[in-house]
Amino acid sequence: MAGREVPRYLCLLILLATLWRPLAGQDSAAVRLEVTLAPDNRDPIVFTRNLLEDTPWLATLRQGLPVRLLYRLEIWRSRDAWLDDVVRQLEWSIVVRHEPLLDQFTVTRLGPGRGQSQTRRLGTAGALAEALRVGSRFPIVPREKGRYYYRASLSVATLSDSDLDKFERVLRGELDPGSEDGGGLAERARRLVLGLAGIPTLNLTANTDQFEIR
Amino acid sequence: MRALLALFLLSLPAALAAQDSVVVINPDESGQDSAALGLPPAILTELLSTWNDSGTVRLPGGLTLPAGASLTGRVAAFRGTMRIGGEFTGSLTVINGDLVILPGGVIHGDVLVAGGRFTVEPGGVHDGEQRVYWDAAAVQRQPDGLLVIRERRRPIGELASAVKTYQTGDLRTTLRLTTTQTYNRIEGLGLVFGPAFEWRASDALTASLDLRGILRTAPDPSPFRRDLGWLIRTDWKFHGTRGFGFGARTYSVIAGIEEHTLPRDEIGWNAFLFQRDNRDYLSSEGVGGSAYNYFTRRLRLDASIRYEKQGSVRANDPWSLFRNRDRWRPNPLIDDGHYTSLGLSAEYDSRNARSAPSSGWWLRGSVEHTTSNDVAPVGLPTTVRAPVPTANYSFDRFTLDARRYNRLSPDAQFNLRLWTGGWLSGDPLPLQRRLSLGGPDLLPGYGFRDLNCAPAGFDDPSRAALCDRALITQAEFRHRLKLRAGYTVRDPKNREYYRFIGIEDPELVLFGDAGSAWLSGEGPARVPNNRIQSISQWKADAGVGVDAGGIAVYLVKALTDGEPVRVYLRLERRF
Repeated sequence: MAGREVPRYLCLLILLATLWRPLAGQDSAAVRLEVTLAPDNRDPIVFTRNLLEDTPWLATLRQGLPVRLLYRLEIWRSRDAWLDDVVRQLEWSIVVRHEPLLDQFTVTRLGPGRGQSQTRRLGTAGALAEALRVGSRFPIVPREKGRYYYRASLSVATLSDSDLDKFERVLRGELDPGSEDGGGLAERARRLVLGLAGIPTLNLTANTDQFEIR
Repeated sequence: MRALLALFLLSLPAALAAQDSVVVINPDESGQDSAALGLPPAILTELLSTWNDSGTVRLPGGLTLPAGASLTGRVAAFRGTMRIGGEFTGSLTVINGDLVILPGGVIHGDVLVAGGRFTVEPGGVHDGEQRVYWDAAAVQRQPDGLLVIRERRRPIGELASAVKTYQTGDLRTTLRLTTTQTYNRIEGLGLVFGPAFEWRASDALTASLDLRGILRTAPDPSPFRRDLGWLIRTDWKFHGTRGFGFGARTYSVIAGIEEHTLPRDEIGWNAFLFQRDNRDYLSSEGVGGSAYNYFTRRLRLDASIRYEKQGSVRANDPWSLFRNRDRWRPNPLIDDGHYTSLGLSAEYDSRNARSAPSSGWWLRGSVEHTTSNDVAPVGLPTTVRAPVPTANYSFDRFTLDARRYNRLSPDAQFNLRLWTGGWLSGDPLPLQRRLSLGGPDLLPGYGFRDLNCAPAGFDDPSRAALCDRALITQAEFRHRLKLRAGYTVRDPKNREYYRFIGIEDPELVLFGDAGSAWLSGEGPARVPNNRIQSISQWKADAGVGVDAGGIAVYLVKALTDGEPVRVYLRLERRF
């Protein structure tokens, strides 16, 4: 970006880099993402472990910042001597908000199907942790012959008020979920400030073993 | 959808019994309706009748029953946590709170927990029926201590913000005060304000009217740039499996030249931090219309027409964090005039994600036909451009950006890109439609616009792009590193929990680029119109970098010239 003059600022940039991702502070204690095969028909089942137990995410929620969980689940077709292919992918978001006056939590899931959304209000942090611990099973096992595996990813981040507004507009059907409106300099600056405040972001991935459809 | 909900509700009690409970979600179910899960009405009624019964012992705020103590009867707790370390006999109802049986604690009797969780710690005993619902009970406590159903609260989405939205029937009104989301040497930071109206006429039609004023914060004493710009546009979108739409707009904006290079947020950061603006700009005022159609979910075709006045603008002196005393690179003059443009573009997008894709195609192509009758061309050496007619001027131009993302394994991918564009036919291109290579995005082994087709001895501090055509190929191999560079902060109260500060799982990037930019036509140092530059004349580079997602550092060296090793910091993926 800054061309050959950059080295003069290398120290600063390295500092920025270490601040940026930690913004990125990754509280990775026992938090993990798992994707497993249903024993009966190899449907994928996605589990999120310990995310909103007693971790910094809970503190983040109580500080008034909504947390968004963006999940992606992909079916990959394995080709031994060639590039693997994505056969299908699902994407869904879960936004968790804390209501300070009631000390309750609102959980909204958007997707993965078109127009699917679901909202719950949970009474305590414990109930929230229990609800998020429930696995999600998707009846999407591939039908064509071949070797496959599932890959799941989870990106956890805080939402600013404008992000939240955008999310609610999507929920109301007023905005395309894929809209990139609102990105740019201000978005990054906001992320930087949130990061400097020590608010974590987290990215997790998980794969299943390969399985064969005959 | 209802079946889905029923499944979900049915799964709840099981969820409590089994450690790994599962809900089935069918993504292929139609889900036009939104679902709000909650406590079953019968349970809500039971909670109210239990709490409000005069025979119930009410415990607002929870309670800890210590070891050795005992409690008997019908007890209800509201909010807070009930911890049973002693012996409880009877029926226990916990509303919007958790229930924990501590080691040595015993509950003889039925338990109902609504809006919380029930935990029996090792050594605790429960020998009755348990019903647990995580969904909160929508109740509130009155001054007389009784519970009533709480009226639904407004969602908290509307936080204090510079964007305020009102809904009146089908009409949604948004008042906005925000920024242009970037920073440049012409405008500084632009402030955007004004209302937007969105009318959702039906599930199939959305119409919008957006009225934006743009206040430019960098002062400009010259007559070339207005301090106040505008963008007024209306769009009509028809939703469906094959969506289509059309729109019209009038505008007075500062537009970018060569917008296929760095993303604008990186341009903005570079300008804001280092007083380096990697883009050139022009003033664009006019009217336009456009239409689009999705032939499939992945294939979109756009057509546009616009009539606009394009004018030169000069670089101003907005503040930057570093090098603020330096001078900004001058903004090149353009061929001023009134232009009429017809454009066609197509896009095919099968990427698995818009951000950081790892699989699929992204193809974009465009052609434009532009005419003008009052061009005021900039004087350029005839070795660069033949004289431009000031009337009946017309040219055709194209661009093609083809990207392929391939995942080799869960941690590795190999990506390819081809970008080409430039003159297609007609008169020579105006200066604002010319091209270059070199710089952080397309050919990073070379300096900013090192390949700009400027003839020897042509001294131009603005380093304007002068080439007719450009072509660049890019390849990169990415591999996720199981690397954690940083430090760990442990929670002093619970050593099991810690926070990692630093870079985790970055990607190692090995890459190479090769391409050329050239003057097209007959004559010395030109490439015939029906040919591309000979590969032996291409410039190439190779490099290595670490991409930590959101920030990346690259080292790159030109392979075809004796350029020094260059270091780049990027905020976005290379492509």
